[in-house]
Amino acid sequence: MTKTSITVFSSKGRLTQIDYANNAVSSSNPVIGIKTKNGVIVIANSSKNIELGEQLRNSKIFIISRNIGLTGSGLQTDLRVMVKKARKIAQNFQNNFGETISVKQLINELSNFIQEFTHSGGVRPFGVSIFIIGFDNFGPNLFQVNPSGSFFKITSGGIGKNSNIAIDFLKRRWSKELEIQDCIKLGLIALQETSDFSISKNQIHIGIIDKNCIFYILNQKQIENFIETLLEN
Amino acid sequence: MDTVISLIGRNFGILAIDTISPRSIFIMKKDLNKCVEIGKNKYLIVSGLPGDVSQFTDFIQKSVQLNSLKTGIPFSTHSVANFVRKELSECLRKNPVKVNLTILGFDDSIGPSLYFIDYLGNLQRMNYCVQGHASLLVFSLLDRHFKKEMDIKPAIGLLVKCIGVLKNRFLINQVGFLIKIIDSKGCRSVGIL
Repeated sequence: MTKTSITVFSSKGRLTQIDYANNAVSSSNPVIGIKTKNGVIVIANSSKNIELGEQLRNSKIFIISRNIGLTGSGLQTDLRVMVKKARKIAQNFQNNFGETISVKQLINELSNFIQEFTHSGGVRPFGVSIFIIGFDNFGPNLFQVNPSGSFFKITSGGIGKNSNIAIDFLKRRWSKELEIQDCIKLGLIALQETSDFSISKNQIHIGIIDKNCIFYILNQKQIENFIETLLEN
Repeated sequence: MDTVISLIGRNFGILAIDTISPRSIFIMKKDLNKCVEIGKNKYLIVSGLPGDVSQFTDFIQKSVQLNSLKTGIPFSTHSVANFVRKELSECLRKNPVKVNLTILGFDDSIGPSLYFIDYLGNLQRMNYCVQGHASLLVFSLLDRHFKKEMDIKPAIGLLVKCIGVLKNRFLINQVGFLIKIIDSKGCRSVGIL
């Protein structure tokens, strides 16, 4: 392996750096995304807070534009670079065309950007898989983008540690008619399934977009309400 | 200078464009179609200096086509109008292009919409608009007689009135006016007045 090129094919035809990037994602804190016809939610579990740390919660879910949100699992610093690029893409589009970008369009440009890092010399691929959620003219959208740049439109899914357990759970319990509140409860249970320890309310982040087409992140109090009702049932 | 009279009616947009191509004191061509179709349901009419007109029209038409192929999503009239405005205003301080444009489009969700962009990059959405020297004569007539949500026959009647004023009082003999309509079925030509 030369010094300048990092992502090269192996003899079996695989890009080993991408596989390793996927490994990095699979060992990181899980994120769940669920979409119904009324809206889309993402729930992220962040790592334990630093001892003696002052911040109650670090940001894990980001607002890209008024109607699009982004979250991901993997290296958080790589995630921030993606957020910065996605925000720029969204505003550039608004500047050129005078209207808000659709989610599919944002995904197209962002995934091209991510793919460039698997095709260039001297750089490594991103170590994050992301969920992008939004509500535009085409309805509610939930997309997953992987470190290789490939993207999928999904109805519900999970990324990160033990995400296959969460995906199995969601496969059994998801239905198109769920309301937003039910989605959140479902997502919290799915998240609980992925970890051996019980999830603490300081580590949960929830982002919602509903028919009002505004993406917002729940604050501490709202999350506590949800977790209380969950523990009651 | 080219004359373009455009109106928005009930679920349709209608245009009257003159069809002459003048060079100094002569009429070079009497049946020129100056209307360019962008997508299936948008008309773009550019007027101004001849070289700038053809170059800018081609550029806009091909850019919009490239973008819609790239993304797979058809553009709305609002997007196209803002895109054209942005290109014009960027050109303004680098290589100015002296063209005025009218964009008339029909979107399924919004209905008909009419945008006027002048050579400085002013963008305005309007219900009726006249482009060219004829605006000095025709705007007052439209101000008086235009009503929102007209049907096709009254709209054409109004256009006939406007063209009558031009034939009566305008110095340049613009021989014929091509009438075009955009509605949910697409673009079509109605005839020459």
